[in-house]
Amino acid sequence: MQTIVIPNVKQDRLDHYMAWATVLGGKIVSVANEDDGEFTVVILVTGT
Amino acid sequence: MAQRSGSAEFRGFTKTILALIATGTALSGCASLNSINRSRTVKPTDNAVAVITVDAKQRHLFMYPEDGGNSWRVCAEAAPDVFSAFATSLGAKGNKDGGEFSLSSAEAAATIERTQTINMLRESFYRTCERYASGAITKAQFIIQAARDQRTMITILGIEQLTGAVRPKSTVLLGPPTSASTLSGADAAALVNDYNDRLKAAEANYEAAKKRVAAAKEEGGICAEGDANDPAACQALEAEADAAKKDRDKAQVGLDNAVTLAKDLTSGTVATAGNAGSTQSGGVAYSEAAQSNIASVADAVVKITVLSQINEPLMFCIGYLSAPDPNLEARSVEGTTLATFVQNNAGGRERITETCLEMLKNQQNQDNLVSAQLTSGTVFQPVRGAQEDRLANYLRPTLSSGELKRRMGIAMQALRALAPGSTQKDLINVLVSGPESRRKDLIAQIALLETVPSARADLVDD
Repeated sequence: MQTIVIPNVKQDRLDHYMAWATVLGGKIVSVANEDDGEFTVVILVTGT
Repeated sequence: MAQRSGSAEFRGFTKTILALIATGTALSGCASLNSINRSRTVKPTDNAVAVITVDAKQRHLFMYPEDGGNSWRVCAEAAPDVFSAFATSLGAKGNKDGGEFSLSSAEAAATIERTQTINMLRESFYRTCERYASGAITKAQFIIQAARDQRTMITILGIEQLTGAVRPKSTVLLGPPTSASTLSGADAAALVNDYNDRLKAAEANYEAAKKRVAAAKEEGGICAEGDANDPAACQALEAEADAAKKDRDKAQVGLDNAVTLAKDLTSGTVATAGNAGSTQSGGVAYSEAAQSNIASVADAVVKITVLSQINEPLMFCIGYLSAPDPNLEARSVEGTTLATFVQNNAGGRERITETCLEMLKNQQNQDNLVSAQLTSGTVFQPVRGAQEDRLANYLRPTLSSGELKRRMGIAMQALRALAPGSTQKDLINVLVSGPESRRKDLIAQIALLETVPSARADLVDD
């Protein structure tokens, strides 16, 4: 598995990234709120 | 009457022996015989310098009251670099004719092996505490120094592991034991003479026995062939010679012991307490360094040194925000990072607070990214654009799970058509970070592979 960190994610793309990670068989590790209303998303995906 | 007098003398002797035993026992249990332990109240004044002296075996704790005695600043010195063993032996014997009492003590000391790095860090940390406790540095400066110490520790330990630790050898000191004994030199000499006499007698006896055996073995003797031969008597004669030899050897051992005892007595040492003073000197022992990779090691050391910088203004901010220093400007030193920071923020303390908060916030964001990278994570910064919008629409999360999975499969297939061997991570990278030109190529490839008209329609640019 590989770790991918996506900072500064706006609200309108948060669901996209989470759905893509899920569909690709990955795992959503965390979704953290940033001070400016954006999010930092950490996901795990396979190396294939 | 004479018998009662003898009993009284014996009781007096017994009392003396008991008193000596009690004294010796008390002394042998006293641990402070060979150490220094002084507790003093230090109140420095303008005209007085207070000095506390302790030996190397002990450590001390400085306790500084602050806030009117409601709290303390405490600095505990690191554990001692040396240890020592203090041994005491006590012996007494006697009868109605007299007695002997002896007391001996010996102390052995040795340094504890530590690398020069450990010694330096121990010293550095303690000095930092001392400076803070004595008021030489503020709490903010203390936090900065603690951060420096931590960074230094990591740096030096890393370099030490690469280059090989320099480890000082332990130094061992064995002092000659001090002794007190009622065995005088005259008594020792008499003892030696007595054992010498015993040895002479045993040797003479043995020589005589040997001669008797030799004579018995001559012609006509009881041990020789012939009419006078008497095996039993011959065997008894030989056994007598063997016994005489054993007596001679035993006397020799007794004389040797007596001579050793007398020699120790005249040199001030007691044989059972160890040898005279000896020293194992210190030195330096190098651990095995990887000589064959010296260039790589040197390169790594340079990198460690360059990267071992700390964000001192940030450390200052942490300390300042924790406890603003009323004498900050007065304490700053010209030419230092701290002084520069204060000068650049001369707009007042509010400005310093505002800057510090901003700095902490930026550092937090940066730490988040670094933390992710340290855990082998890759950071994808989102980059928006028209092509990104088209892909986001094509792969929108409101689709059914099955349909989204189908489209994602086509997207993966399209990317691999553009770049064979691409992985899921590569696809996410293009979707999230672009670039837009890559996304445009991807969209064109998806359009070729997509067989569902409605899905293909989602790729059309509005």
